[in-house]
Amino acid sequence: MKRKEFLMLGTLGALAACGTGNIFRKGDTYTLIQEDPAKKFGHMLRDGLQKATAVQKKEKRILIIGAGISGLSAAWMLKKQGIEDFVVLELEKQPGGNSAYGKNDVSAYPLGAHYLPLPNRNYPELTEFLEKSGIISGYDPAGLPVYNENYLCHEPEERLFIRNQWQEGLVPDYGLNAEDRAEIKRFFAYMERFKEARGTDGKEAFAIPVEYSSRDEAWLAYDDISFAGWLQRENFRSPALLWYAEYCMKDDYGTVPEKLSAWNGIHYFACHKGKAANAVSSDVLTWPEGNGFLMEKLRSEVQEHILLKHMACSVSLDGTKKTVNVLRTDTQQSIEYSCRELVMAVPLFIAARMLNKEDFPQVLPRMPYGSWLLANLTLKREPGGRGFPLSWDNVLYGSRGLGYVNACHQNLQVVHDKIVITYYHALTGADPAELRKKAEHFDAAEWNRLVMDDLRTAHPDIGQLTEHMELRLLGHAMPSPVPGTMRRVLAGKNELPADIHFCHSELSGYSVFEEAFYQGCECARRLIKISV
Amino acid sequence: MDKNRKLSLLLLISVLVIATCGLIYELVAGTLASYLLGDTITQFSTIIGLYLFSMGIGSFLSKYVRGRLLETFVRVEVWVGIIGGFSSTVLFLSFELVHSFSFILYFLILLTGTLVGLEIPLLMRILNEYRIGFKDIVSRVFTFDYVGALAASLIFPLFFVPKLGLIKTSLFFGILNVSVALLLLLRFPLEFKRRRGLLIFSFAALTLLTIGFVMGDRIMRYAESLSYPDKVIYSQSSSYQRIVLTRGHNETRLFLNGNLQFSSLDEYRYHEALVHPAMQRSRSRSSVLVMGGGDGLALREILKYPDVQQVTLVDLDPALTQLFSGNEYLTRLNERSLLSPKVKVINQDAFIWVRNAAEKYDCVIIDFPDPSSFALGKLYSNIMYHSLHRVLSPGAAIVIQSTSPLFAPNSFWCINETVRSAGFRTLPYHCYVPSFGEWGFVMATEGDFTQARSALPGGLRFFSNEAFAAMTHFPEDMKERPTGVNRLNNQMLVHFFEKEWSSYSAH
Ligand SMILES: Cc1cc2nc3c(=O)[nH]c(=O)nc-3n(C[C@H](O)[C@H](O)[C@H](O)COP(=O)(O)OP(=O)(O)OC[C@H]3O[C@@H](n4cnc5c(N)ncnc54)[C@H](O)[C@@H]3O)c2cc1C
Repeated sequence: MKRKEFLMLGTLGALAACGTGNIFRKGDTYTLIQEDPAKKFGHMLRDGLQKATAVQKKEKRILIIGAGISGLSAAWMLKKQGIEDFVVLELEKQPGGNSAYGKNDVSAYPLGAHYLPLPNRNYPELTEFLEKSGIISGYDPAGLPVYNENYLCHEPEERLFIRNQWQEGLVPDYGLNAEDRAEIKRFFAYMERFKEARGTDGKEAFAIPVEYSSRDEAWLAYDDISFAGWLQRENFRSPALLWYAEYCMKDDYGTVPEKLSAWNGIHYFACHKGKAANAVSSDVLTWPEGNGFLMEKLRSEVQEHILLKHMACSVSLDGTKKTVNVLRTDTQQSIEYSCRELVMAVPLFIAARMLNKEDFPQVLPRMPYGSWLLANLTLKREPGGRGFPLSWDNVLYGSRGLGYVNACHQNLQVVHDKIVITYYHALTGADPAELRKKAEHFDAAEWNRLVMDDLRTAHPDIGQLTEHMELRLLGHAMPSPVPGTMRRVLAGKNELPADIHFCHSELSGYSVFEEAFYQGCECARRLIKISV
Repeated sequence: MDKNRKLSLLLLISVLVIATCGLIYELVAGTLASYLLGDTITQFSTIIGLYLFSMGIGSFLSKYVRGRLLETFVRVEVWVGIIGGFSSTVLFLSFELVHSFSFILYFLILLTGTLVGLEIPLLMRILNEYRIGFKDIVSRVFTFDYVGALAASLIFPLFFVPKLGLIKTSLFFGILNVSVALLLLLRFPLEFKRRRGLLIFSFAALTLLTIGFVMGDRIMRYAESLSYPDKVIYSQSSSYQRIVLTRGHNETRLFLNGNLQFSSLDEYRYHEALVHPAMQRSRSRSSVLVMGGGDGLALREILKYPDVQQVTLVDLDPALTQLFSGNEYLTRLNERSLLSPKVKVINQDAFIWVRNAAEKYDCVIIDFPDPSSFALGKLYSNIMYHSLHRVLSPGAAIVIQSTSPLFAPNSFWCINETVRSAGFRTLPYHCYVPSFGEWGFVMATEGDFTQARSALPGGLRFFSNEAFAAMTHFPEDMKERPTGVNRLNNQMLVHFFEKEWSSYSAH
């Protein structure tokens, strides 16, 4: 590979790293922030190139790029079917991508995804995975799964800081007038109907995995307008309800209702229909390390196939074989992998940069990506507050952030001295690209202030309480499904090069565990079919 | 700037301070009254009304002040500081001490109101003496007055109450009042004839208020201790809870976080009923586990059996077990049970401990605090009861203190149902403990229940096998009902408990 080409690929690595990245200590303050990934990888690649040793050549039948949930699920499935001739390349020093986790003396904590809604049991592989991982511990006489109660989110689950006090639950209630209340009721009644709805093709209107959703035009039409447009059309005006809707959309899609397809907006409220012997469909599964727990379960099955600190840089076609140039980010060695089947378990914007233009002239679909700020705060003691006690999810009404999750919530001890909380903030607002640029120039102190100022409204003493803060900035955290996305996804019109397999959650139009898992398993299934 | 102008500026600033302080005292009184007496609306409106009215009295009285205006002003200022500053302390302390709390409350408001009411007209007259156009004075004084009022009403709820608490807030403003007086005295020595006396008076007031401020937290704690019916003989905040012991003329009581744990008069009923049924139904008794029960009273009952070889007691709070192993009176009460060589005390979270425990026990006595919070509710969850299986030797019996089947029947039967769901057979029973009322227990075994296997130890004051037969009968008003299982993901029990006890205490 030419030097110039290699340098260009450096930018790609840097982009990929926007999703993850190292965290460094800034001076002697308690604030940690992710190093500017673009700079870091730029440097690493330049230095690496000078030192780069002779290109090694390796061969595998199947190569999976990306050890996020989708890549790991594909690997898990292959292994389950007895296929061993594969490797998974991951540029980070830990697997997991958006479901990675961190750990300190007090607790493990999520670095991204933190929960799995009670699963719909329409995808047998997921059920099987949950059984094997000890998350489903058995079945009751009626055939309903019994979930391990250590993992079902414990009470108190959610609280909202509204009008200077904490109320139970996230749907605004405290101090609302009758009109607001009536509208919220009407909204949820609507969503109940969407839950039950089916298309003329007999499929659920809103299913998860989305692939199982109806293609009936009556439902697809919801993809033509924005969620905000739909809310307006249906005459929802209560500020409390609109705040709640916006909060949910930011929380799940990292975007605001104005920029989100109504189909997805409704999907969020209408797709969870899981049933269980010992839980209700609105319950969730969660762990101190968040979905890092699920990730570890997948990883442990395929541990020996994962190569960490291996950055895929470019992909070219060599007859029926694919050649992937890989840079080892620790030793700066480069490796040329050739494989028969190539799986791209990375976001499409990264994949697009990787593909050699001559071999793959196709333009990949582009989606806007949202940026996120995460902060893990180690607190000297549990934060107080008037009203409902500290819960798993703690949200501030009217705030721009998404509140915080108590990583120690599932621990069984009665009294905690220190705890870790994970603060989430979807950076919505101006143009995402512009935001990302701005984000790069923001320094640790500013991010720190943003987090503190937000939390201070509910916890005036948050400054004294905080012993340590670790910030994580995710530049391209997740794609946001704008109107039109789901029509494309459900019509199977992803228009991707046929010689390569794609399996990132983005192919489902948006990013959650179930979709990443589904994409991974379906991809593996296709590979298995090819090999027999 | 000439002297007169400087003085009048300082006086105007003092208007601001007076207005702020005055309103703060009123807000403190209102808040305190609604804390302690309830009914916020009535409290606030009567207090505001009375305060305004007494300000009127003050204005009226001001006309009787002749000559030496500035001196009177300073003296009034210091008195406002003292009375207002200490008002919340006095109110806190008097709440439990006397029955005429409201009288003291209104009296203090009348006093501060009158004094504050005196100040404004006085001040106008002083300013007039120092020759500033009268029209100007009125507008300026009122501007400062209203600005002060606004400042007070904003900083009070937003800053002072959360940061300092009520006692320290009023002391702080008392200090501010007196400081203004002192400033006048120090900056304009020539305006005062009896300056020395006034100086001594204000310094004394300042010192008193400052001492009060520094000790504010201690006063607060002391005031809180007065809410117990008897004399507090011991109180300590451990990292987990507030431990308070009180002594009446013939009984001692232990409170944890304000909840009564036992009274020395009738605790024997509770502890005999808690311990003996399970001890009698365990196949063996050589090794016994106690969870909770850091007071060593259940332990005392256990050690009455000579065949008990070792007892492990797991209680979260070292402060509690230390108190009950060290204090002379308390060790007499528990018969030095915590110091017995057979006893091993482990200060750890019981839930975490039981999941890692290696040994097995013949009998398990569970005496946790009532499920009054989500944190404590975990200790009554099906997962907790499931994990008990691992520490049970064959034929072991368990007993769980299970709150009152009379006052909180859903809570009681929910514990019973939860224990059953975890694979146990249960035998619920109840008895009467005067200081608690009707109290319930759930006994549980892995296999079938047997009759009592051995004779009771001597020296019991309440429990007998005949008495037990009656205890297992639940009359109509406490009878079993289906409730559901208390799981970590529903914490049903905490919801029941909260509802049932709040409706009970409302009567
Ligand atoms: C802040 C946040 C919170 C979330 N919360 C939840 C939640 O609570 N529940 C939920 O279900 N979902 C949540 N999600 C969605 C989450 O993204 C998905 O659940 C899932 O983790 C997506 O997995 P994936 O494999 O599709 O993608 P990714 O996690 O993006 O995986 C891609 C992987 O590829 C690697 N990679 C990229 N480029 C290269 C390269 N050139 N060479 C080698 N490797 C490369 C990356 O490092 C990464 O590990 C959240 C997402 C974010 C950002």
